[in-house]
Amino acid sequence: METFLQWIERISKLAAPPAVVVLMVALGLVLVTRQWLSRMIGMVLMYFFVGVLHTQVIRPEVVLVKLLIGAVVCLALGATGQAVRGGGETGNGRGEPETGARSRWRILLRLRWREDVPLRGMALAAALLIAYAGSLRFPLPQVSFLVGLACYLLAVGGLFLAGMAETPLGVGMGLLVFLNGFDLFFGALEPSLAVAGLLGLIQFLVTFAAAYLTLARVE
Amino acid sequence: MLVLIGIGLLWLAAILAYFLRRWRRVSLLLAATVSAALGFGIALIPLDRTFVLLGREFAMGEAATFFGRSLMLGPLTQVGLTFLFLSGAALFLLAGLLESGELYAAVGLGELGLLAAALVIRPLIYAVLVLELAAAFSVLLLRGGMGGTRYLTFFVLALPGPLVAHWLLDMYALTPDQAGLLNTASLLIGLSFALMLGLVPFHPWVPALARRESPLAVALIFSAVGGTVWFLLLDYLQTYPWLSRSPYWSSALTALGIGTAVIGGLLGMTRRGWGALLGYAVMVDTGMLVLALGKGGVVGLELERAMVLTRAWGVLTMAAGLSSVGAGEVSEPGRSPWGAVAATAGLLSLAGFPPTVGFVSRWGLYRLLFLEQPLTVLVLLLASVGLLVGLLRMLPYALRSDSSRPRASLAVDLLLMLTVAGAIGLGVFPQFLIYR
Repeated sequence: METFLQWIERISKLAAPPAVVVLMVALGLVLVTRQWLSRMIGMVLMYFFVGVLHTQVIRPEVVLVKLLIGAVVCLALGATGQAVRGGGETGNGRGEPETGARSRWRILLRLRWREDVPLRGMALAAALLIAYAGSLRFPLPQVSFLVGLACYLLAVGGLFLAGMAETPLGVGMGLLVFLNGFDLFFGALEPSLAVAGLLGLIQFLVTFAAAYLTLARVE
Repeated sequence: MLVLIGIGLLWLAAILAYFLRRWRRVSLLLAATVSAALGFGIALIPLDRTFVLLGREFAMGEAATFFGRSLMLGPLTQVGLTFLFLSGAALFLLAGLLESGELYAAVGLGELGLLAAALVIRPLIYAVLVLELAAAFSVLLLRGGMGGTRYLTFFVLALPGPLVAHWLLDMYALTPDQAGLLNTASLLIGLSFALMLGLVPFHPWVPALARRESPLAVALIFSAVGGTVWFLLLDYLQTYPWLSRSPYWSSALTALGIGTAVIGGLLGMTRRGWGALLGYAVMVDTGMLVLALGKGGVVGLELERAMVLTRAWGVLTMAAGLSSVGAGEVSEPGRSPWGAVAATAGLLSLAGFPPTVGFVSRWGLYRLLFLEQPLTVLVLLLASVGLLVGLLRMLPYALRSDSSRPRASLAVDLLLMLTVAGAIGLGVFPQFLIYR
C-alpha cells in the first residue's frame, strides 16, 4: 500500500501537465464518441488522472479511497453499458447493435461519418475554450492553474455531456464527469475526510440511479 | 438522541420491508406504522424528558453525535420531522390500497431516514450532502423515464452552490471587510435552492417527472423531498439571517415567485395529461411559497410553514385520485368514481380554491399581499385559474366510463372519500392542521 501511494505521489509531481492533456483526451472519448467501450475507456482514464491531480490538493490516503470509488463506478457503468449495449447510443444506426471484432473496427472507422460527430466535436472545442478562458479570467482559489483548468474542463464537459445525452446512462456519465470536476476543486477547499466520503457516496448513488433508470427503461 | 434512534429504526424497518416485499401490503403496513409512530412520537413527546439506555441517562431532545457530526432537534426541525413522518405514513397507507411497486415501502422508509438525517445533521454543509444522497436514492421509486433523469440532473447541479458558499462564509469570518464574499455566497445558495425547488427557469424537471411516473412515487418526491428542501431553506435563513437582509432578496423572490406561478398556470392550461397537470399545480404552489418567503418577517415564515403542510395534503389527495383514474400505468387499483373527485379536490387545493385546505394558507398570502401589491394578487389568481382551465379540459377523460378496467374495491372508494373529506374538512376547520 505504501509503495502504491508513493508511486501516485511521484507521478503527481512529475505529471500535472500530461495529466491535464490525458483528461482532455478522456473527455473527448466520452463526449465525442457514442460507443460505450470508448466511453468506458474515457471514464477509466478520467477517474485515474483526476486521482493523480487530487494528490496535489489532498492526502494520498484519501486519493486512494477516491480511486477505489472510481473503480466501483466504472465497473457499474461498464456492467450497465454491457447489459443494454450502450443504452441505445451505439449500434448500426438502425437500432440494431453490431457485435464482433470486425464490426467494432467498422464502428470505429465509421465514427468520422456519424452525423452528430461535428456537433459533439464543437461541444468539446467549446468546453476547452470555456475552461481555458474561465481559468484565466476567474482562476479558482486554493488550486494551481493546471488543476483549475482541469476542474473547469470537467465541469463544463460534464454539463455538455449531460445536456446532449439521449439516455439515462449518458446523462449519468455527464453528471459523474461534472461531479469529478467539482470534487477536484472542493477537495482543496474542504479537505475533511467526511466530506470526501460523502461526495464519493453521492457519486456512487448517482451511478446506481443512472444504471437503474437505464435498465428500467430497457425493461 | 431520539432522532438518532428514529433514523436507525427507519433503516431497520426498511431492511425488514425489503425482505417482506413479496407481501406488499404487509410491508406497507409496517412502513406506515413505523412512520406514524415516529411522527406522533416526535410531535408529542416532550424533548426534555429523559430516559436510560445502557446505563446512561439521555434527554429526548439531546444532541447526538454520529461520526463526529451533531444531530440536533430544534423547534423547526421538530415540525419538519413531524411533517415528514406523517406525510410518509399517509403515503404508505395510500400505497397499500392503490398502485405502487413492491419496493415502495423499503425505498420509502430508507428515503425518509435520509431526509430526516438531512433535517437534523449539522453543520448545514452535511445536510446538503445527505439531501443529495436522498435525491439520488429516491430515483429507485421511479420507472425509468427521462423525467427521473432530469430530476436527478437538477439536484446534482444544485450540489456545488451550498458547499462553496460554506467555504466563502468561513473566509468571510476571517476577512469581514470583504462584503463581496457574502454576495457570492447568497447567489450560490439562492441558485441551488432555485434548482431544487424547480423555480423558473429551472422548472422542466417538475412536469416531466409528474407526467411519466407513478403518481404515488411522484407524491413522495414532491411532498417529502420537496418539503425537506423547504425546511432546509428555512433553516438556512435562521442560521444565516443576513441572507434575507439583502436589498435584492424581496424583489428577487417576488420576481421568481410570480414567474414560476404564471408559467405553471399558463402551461397548466394545456392538455398534456393528468400527471403533467399535477406538476404544473406544484409549480403554481411553489411560486406562491416563494412569494410568501419574500415577504419575510414572522407572518411570512408562519405562512410559509402552513403552505408547506397544506401543499402536502393537496399533492397526496391528487396523487391518490390519479392512481385511481388511470394516470399510473402499472397495477392500477381499478376504476372508482371517487378517483376523479379526489384528483379534482387535490388540484383545487393546490390551486388554492375554497373550501379546500389549500385555500386557507393562500387566503393568508393574498391578504398579506393585497394592500401593497394588488396587481400581483390578480396575476396570482389568474395563474390559479389556468390550472382550473386545465382541469376542465382533463375532466371528461376522468369521467369517461372505462368498462375494460375492473371496478375498484370498497376499501379504495372509502380511502379516496377520506382523502377528499380531509382536503375539504381541513379547509373548513384549518385549526386542526395549522394556526396552532
